[in-house]
Amino acid sequence: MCSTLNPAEAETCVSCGARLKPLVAGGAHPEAEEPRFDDLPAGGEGEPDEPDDWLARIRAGVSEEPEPEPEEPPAPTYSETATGSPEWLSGMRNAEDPYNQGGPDEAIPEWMDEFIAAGEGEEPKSEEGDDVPEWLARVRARKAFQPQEDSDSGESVDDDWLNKLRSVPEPEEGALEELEQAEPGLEGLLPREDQPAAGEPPVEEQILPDLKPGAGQDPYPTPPAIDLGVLSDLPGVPGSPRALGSQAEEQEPEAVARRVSASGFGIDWGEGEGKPPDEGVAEDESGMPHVPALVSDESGERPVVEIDESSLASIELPAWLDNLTPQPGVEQAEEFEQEEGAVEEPDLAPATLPSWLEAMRPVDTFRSEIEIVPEDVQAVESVGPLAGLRGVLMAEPVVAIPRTSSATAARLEVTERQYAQGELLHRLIEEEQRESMIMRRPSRPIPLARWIISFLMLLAVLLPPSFSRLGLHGFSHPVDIPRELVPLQGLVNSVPTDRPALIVFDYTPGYSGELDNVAGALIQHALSRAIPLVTLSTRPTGPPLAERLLSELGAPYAAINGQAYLHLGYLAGGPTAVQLFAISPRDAVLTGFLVPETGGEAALGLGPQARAAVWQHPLLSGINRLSDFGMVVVITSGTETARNWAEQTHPWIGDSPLVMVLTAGAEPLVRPYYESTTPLVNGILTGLPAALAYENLNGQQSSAGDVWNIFGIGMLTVELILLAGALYGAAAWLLSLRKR
Amino acid sequence: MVEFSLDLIGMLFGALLTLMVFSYVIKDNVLFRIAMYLFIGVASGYAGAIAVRNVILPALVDPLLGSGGLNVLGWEALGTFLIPWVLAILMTLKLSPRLARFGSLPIAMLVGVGAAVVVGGGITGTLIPQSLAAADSLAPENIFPATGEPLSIWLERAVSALIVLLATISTLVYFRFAAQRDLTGSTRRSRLTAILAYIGRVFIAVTFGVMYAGALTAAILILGQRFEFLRQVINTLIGGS
Repeated sequence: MCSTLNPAEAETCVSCGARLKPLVAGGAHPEAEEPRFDDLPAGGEGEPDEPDDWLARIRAGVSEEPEPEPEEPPAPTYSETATGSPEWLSGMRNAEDPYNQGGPDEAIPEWMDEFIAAGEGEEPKSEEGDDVPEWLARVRARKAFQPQEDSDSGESVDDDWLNKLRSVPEPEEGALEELEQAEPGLEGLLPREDQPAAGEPPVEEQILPDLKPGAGQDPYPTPPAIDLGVLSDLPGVPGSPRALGSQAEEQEPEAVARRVSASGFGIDWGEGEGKPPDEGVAEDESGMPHVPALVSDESGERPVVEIDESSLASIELPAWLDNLTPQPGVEQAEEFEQEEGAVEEPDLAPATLPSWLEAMRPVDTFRSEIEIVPEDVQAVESVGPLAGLRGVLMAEPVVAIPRTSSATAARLEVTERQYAQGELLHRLIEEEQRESMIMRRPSRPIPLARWIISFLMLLAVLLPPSFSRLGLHGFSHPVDIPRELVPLQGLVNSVPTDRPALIVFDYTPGYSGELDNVAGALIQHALSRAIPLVTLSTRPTGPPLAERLLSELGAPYAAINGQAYLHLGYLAGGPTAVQLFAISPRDAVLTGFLVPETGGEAALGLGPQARAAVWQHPLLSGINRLSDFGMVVVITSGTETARNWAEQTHPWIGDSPLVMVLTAGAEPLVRPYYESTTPLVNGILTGLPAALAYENLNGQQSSAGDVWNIFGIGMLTVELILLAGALYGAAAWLLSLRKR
Repeated sequence: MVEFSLDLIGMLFGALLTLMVFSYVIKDNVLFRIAMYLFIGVASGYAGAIAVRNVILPALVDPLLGSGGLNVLGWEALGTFLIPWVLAILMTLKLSPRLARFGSLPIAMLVGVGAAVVVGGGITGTLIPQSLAAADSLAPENIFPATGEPLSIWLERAVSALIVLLATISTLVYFRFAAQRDLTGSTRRSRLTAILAYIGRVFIAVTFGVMYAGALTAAILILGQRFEFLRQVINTLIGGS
């Protein structure tokens, strides 16, 4: 369209040669005596036999008042049910729909028999009685000149959808029999073995010979309304009223006629119009190419079929019929791809959508690019006021037409990063499932330094017993007396001998090598003063340690169990039991350990009387509270135990002194209780040197002298090792500085 | 001739176990593990036997056997017999996953009473007395010399009080982790706080060093005692004495 002003009489444009006068579908020539809209009702303002008037207005671009919509053509329209035409015909689908390209030509269902019978018995009625509409007359006239082979093209189109229907897997025989019994009207639709073979002539020629043109009858009979049963409202069934009637109501009679011929059951109701839609542009009588209005064949757009969903919801379809229906997600997508691939690539750059809009669109549900085809490829409008013009825009833009999602929409779009992450996760899962081999760690050689230190320490502890043989003097005993020993000595000396002293053995056998020697000095001092001793322990292993140490230390003083000392045994309950014992010793300790029954013989105490005899012992006769003990000595290796005794007993200990005998490692945390201005601990004895000093202070024979030399040379060895390590580290540091 | 007695067998067995433990010097071996398993098993068994003999029998069984069980019916038995029995039975329900929730009562009682005793003892036995002791170390009678007291003793006491004060404050400041945030977003202590915290860290290091030295001393002493024991065993086997 070049927009050049041409004379009103001109048929084609002087500049571009475009046709200026509209063409009428069905072979109506612009110069024909009968105009295209001669059968419009008289209510319209424009004269239907004067098409030049409205065409002139269009050319002049005058649009002052919208023309009143022409009413539906009364007589020849197939959509009107009042004329006696069947209702199903009004609902015929568009011929371009690939799924409704005609009915089967081989198998004519049985319900068609009723249709055929009705068609033979009844003549199509119209408002004008036997008057044939003008357009139908033209069609008949053209049909008379049309050779027979034109109908073959329509059959080939019909074969397309028929082959698709045949390709659907057949339902089971049992299901078919049940369906036949349930719905007698569907017998004709069910596949039969006695159906005609492929080589036989088309079924419509066998059973509908009278419908063929030239048979002496009306070649376009209006079939009567047929009750299709459950298929009456099914839009997917070709030729069903529901499928065919949605669009025909709003379309012109001739367009309806074309689509009926293309989508019917192989009935050749009009040559030329029955060509397959793949050919895109058809030709009318004047040889001008044309396409159906408002439908774009090139773009593969489907006409929108309005379906009454309420009626669909009420339909109960058999299961096998669902299988018979074409799968739109697959077949439509394939045909879309074929049709889109057939369009030539335009010279113009395709319009692209912005990225944010691209991100919002569903995947593969519609095209993001609007293809603009060249003008030469564009179809020429065949009907309507724009007939003969190329590049007529469709009534609806491409993007506004809803499309069904194609099969490719189900494919997952994965980016490279997502793919890499998925691969990584897959590998991790595989590695988790893989059985790991048990790897035996190779035995590492012991470091040389470890061997050296072990050898030196072993030599140090083995060498002192041989000092006398080697003529060496051992380490001298400590001369300096720690200042806490003098108060301790005075404290022990002040303990009355008529009241027993409580000695708590709260250490494990592992610490007996140290604590036996340290506590031995204090116990010897107490035994030397004939102070009765009562032992107790909050550890199960404490009573045996107490018995072993007292029996060893008491031998020089003739101290035996039951006379010089007594074992209360094990006190269970931790800090709570310590507090309970401080409050009421008789309630906390119910039995003793190795309590002698008679004389000095220790008993196992299995009987109740034997166990209860511990508090009946003369040594414990006056003991009812913790403060009744003359002194409380706690021998422990842990700071926690020492703190528990100091904390839990101080409210009830009274004037009785609390003495701690500790290992060297526990001293720093216990000493604050001793050096406080209001001490909770009245005496402290820590470590082997302090024990030796205490023995020397008391003038006792040293019980720890045997291990003193071992302790001394062992400490010397450790100090030398530490010194050697410090020198090695300093040398290495200096060497590293020099290298820098 | 050496007379094999139970004491000698026990001594030999103890020496053997000592050597098995010392074999760890080479590496972790079967002998060392056997000795460890034996110690753990014997200790557990002995603890169980002590618990039965010293706790269960006198507290739960003897009241039933004594006086023909008549003393159970008295009011005194409610607190000394019945309640311990109920709590013990509830405790044994812990063995059943279905009834374990009933054993939570004695457990809760043990934990609650234990915590109350420890916290109460800690407050009244450690926190308050130690705080008062630290404050008393700065009392005038401790700072200033008494009449006729030698200067050296007063100086020693004064220095000791200052060290105690400095150590207490600096150690507490070290464990105070509050700090100001500067413009760069990093946290920094003030100069005085940083100095005191550093001094407190020195005191803490000295304390742990003393503890480590004491543990090392104890270990060496135990090592020497064990080797002395081995020497006695060898002398006994050789000399028969």
